[in-house]
Amino acid sequence: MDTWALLLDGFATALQPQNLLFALVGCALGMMVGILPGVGPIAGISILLPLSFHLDATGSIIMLAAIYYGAMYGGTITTVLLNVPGEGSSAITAIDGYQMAKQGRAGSALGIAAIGSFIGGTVATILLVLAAPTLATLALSFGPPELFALLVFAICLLVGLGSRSVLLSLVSGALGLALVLPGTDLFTGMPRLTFGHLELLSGLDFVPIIMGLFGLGEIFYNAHLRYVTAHAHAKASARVSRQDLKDSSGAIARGSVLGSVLGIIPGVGTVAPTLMSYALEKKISKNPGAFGNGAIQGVAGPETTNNAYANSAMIPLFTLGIPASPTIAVLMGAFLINGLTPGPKLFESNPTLVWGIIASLFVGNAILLIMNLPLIRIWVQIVRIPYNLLFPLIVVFMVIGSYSVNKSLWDVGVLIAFGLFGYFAKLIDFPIVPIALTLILGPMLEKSLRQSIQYSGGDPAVFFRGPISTTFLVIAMLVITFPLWSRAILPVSGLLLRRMPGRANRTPQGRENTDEETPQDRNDRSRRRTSAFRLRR
Amino acid sequence: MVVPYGAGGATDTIGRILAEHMEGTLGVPVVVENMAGGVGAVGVQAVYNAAPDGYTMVMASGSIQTIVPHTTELGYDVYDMEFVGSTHESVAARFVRADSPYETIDDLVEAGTSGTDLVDITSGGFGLPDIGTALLSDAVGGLDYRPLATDGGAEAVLRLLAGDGDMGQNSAATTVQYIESGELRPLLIESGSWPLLEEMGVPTAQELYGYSTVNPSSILLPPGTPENIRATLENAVRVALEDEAVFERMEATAELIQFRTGAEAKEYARQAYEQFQPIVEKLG
Repeated sequence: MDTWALLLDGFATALQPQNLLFALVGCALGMMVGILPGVGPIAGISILLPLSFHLDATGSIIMLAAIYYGAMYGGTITTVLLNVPGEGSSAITAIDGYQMAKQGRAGSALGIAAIGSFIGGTVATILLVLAAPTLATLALSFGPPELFALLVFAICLLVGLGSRSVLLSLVSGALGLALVLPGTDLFTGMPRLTFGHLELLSGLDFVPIIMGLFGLGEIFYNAHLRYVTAHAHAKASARVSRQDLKDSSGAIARGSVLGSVLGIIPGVGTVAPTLMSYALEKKISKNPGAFGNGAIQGVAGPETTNNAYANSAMIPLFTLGIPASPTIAVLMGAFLINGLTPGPKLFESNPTLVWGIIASLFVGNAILLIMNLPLIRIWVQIVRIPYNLLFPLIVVFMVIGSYSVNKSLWDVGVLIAFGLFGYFAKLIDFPIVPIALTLILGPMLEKSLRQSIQYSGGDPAVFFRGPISTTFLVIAMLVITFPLWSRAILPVSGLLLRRMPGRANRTPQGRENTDEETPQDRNDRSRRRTSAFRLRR
Repeated sequence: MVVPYGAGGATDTIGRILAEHMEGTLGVPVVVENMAGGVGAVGVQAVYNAAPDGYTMVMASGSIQTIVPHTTELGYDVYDMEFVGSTHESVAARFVRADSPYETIDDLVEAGTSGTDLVDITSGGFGLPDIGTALLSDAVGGLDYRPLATDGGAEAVLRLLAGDGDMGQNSAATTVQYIESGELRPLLIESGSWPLLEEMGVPTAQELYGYSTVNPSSILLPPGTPENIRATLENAVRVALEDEAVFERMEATAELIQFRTGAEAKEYARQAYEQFQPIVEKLG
């Protein structure tokens, strides 16, 4: 009960006009940062960090935190409308969000993202209030083997995402892993494949790569097709229908849980949880064929997850004094500048500040929702701007964005190179989503694998040292071998499934990615189509 | 003033506090610019190539002066640059978890030299924690240990608290609260000094084993900057650190704040650079 009293005090702090204003300004700036391609939350917070010198501690931290979760939402807008991810954690939303916009459902996509973001952020914050100390223990038990097992599980889910062919997906995924190789070897400290370039010592930054692949590539491709007028439906309704809510409620619930849980684990980063959410939604969907063609769950899941993650990532900061993601590390700088050391002590030494910030997370999430639902009407007008005016503008923003983060022309070169790559990939229908996935998960995968091997002295038993890692690895094995054993037991399960008509369309999901199409596949697909039709009604 | 790392770290924070005060002394705006990349080398390289007119300087922290030159082929030599002075150095000590059987550094060394394979939580590569362990091992005639490389800082402390390793060298910013709460036990001060731990009676590696992992910061100017400009800036740094309010705000970063003149800073950094040479060669 004490917690509630403290939280109420926190609301008293957060709702002071001055702090309310900071939260509002933070949300607005965050959305701007999210919308501008290439300028992500890290850059946004870094640029405004010096303000902490001049503002009071509570206000400045409230504002900087608001920038973080504001950016999580802002990135969605350009992603959905233009297929230009404003920042990394929106990249996966591009797949279905942009398709929805093309079908005239941009308003639904943006609306459901706003609602999902609000719910995800709120759930994560409630978790922070109720269970932070308990969850801190979970963070401790999540060592390198556990992280590795989780990543293996995630990658097994992700194989074949966004492509018709598993083989092409694997090639593309391997390319993404290759891009992770240059840099400074974490374990020896030696430059690895940097070819004497200082810029490569810190590795390739994934932001310009993703922007190039998805954003610039799309623009080149549209120019190639000579699109000069808007083809997305600008007259789209800006309202979220009851059906939309019904369709995405499951995805929002799962995204809230997923983002909240992953936020507690240090080192996962903002992007990976959204990928996992998308993969999860596609895997458990009764209608996986709709993914990639404007499935609202493909927007609702990842968008909920990234806001839940952004809020939940505060848990390790407040309970252990450990920044769980690079953005949080910059945010931690704002504490340090004000002479505060984040950690469990802060709850005792400065309860007004801590609870004020926690309450402001609730307030800020509400501000985002209230601000965005009416704004969607205006956002969807963006697609009315003729492409021949809009695209050059976006290109300019992308170039400035990728330059400004590290103030380096190198990143602009990376952007252009991957823009060209994305364009050619589109021409030959080569899947680019797996590149983005392995690019983001690769460094974590390498680190956790090598850490596990290194300190266990090469004993593979380390991966089965506890229930967490064992569970993930076993499930991963089941997922990846699903086509084998499902085929083996298909006659039996087929008989069973025929008796349960509601479940019949589940059978094809494990085999949807096989290259050749059997008559049965075709059969399955038509069945899926009918069921999709039924769902829509 | 170029800070060759991202915003928000200790060096960045100290640089910003310093810049704010220097504006008053010098009468010109002092702008802090983060130029991260290449573990700090990109920012230092940029200043090395800048015009030597005193309008561009870089806040370089330890490893870029002491370790990186050993491991990476660079387009510049830090010791060709003009040293304005030093504001701070990082403190570091070897820690074990509170429930560890090793009560003193002797217990730890005893175990490590009589067959126990210790897991050392490090920052990976040629970070100071790795060099610290290698120096300790050398001093006691060979320690059995294997590393668990992390990103250093917070992650290293987390893994130590989680019990994934036996020992680790960590700096103040991430450990102070755990020293106070008693969850981490300091065994050996490995930096030049760490007043808080000295008061607690923790021995230094210098007195026991004759080594230290010094991590000094320096403010550097492009080579060939005229002496009078350098001296003016040095004085501005000195005045800033004499200001108690500035000193206190810098101390909040948990770094050891101490003014050194340009000549002292250069000598101090070079000593560490030379001390690390044989050990880096041995590790690499």
